[in-house]
Amino acid sequence: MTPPVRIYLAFCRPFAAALLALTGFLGYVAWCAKDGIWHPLLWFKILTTLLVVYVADRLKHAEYPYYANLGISKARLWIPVILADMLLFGLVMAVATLTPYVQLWPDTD
Amino acid sequence: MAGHRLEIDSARCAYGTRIILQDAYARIEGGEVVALVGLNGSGKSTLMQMLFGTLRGEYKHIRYNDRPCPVPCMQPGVVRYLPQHPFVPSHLSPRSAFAHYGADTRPFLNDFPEFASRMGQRMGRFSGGERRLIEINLVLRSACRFVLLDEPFAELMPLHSKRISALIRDEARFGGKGILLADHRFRESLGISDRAYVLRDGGVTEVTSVAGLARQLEDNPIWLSTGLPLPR
Repeated sequence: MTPPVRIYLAFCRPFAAALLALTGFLGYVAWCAKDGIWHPLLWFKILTTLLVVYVADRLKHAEYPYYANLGISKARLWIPVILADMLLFGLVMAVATLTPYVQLWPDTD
Repeated sequence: MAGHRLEIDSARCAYGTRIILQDAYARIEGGEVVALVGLNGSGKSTLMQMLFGTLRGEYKHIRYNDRPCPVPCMQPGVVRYLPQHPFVPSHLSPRSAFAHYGADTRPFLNDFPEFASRMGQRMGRFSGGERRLIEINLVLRSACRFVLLDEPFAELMPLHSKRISALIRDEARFGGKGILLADHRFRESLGISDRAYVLRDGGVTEVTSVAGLARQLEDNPIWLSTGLPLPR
């Protein structure tokens, strides 16, 4: 039997890019903006993650029996994925806040 | 593996005001094939999903080897379910799916060598019939004690239906699996079954002979659709 982590990776594959891109973008915004941006970014992340989960849930509805056959319920699929995504978001935000800002592109004017 | 038993008792389920199942009972023993017979909407899929554990219904009591087992699908190695619709994620290959389910691909490729060069291809790129064939093999050949097959013969060409019928019999007889199958191709499903349950008006009646089945169905159009003569 395949280790559960591979099954979770198979489950996440279609929508992982969207979640990672979102986290990366918000990390970049936090890095540029620094103080006072945490709160709105956190809410933005929560709301967009819920949207991604809702859309993925609708699209993947027919696939749940595949995972149920492996003893993984819908809740046991989604909860670790959401927790891992939020943990990654927290790490990215912490790194972005603690890293000194460097202007990547010089002003053209 | 024979000797195991999975039972559902007092199953009740309704969609709105429409009662689908009313105190239904069904039992599968290891090593036997049991057919579920009924019209569209009679509750065959509902009963299977309740027995599998993904549909709660209003009430049910499930026992596995005489012990309460509310959600059989969460017990490792107990039951696998083939739904009516394609269920293996489209982005996975048959090889990955067989690996996830711990099923050996060699017996499958011995029976269906035409898939040998396509085991790494995404499921979404197979035709409906090919995909169905892979999914049936995946569920039947993986290690478990009971298999629930919802319309396994749908979309299969006659040659493949015969091979799947033989596989179902073999998995029950030699693999010791208990298999519950519901299909509108009554000739195929009843032809390989040891006994059958007839679903009518929310209730379930067990029949063990063709004569018993005829008694249940002779006033019902589904019997005529089987094409089998009434034993009068």
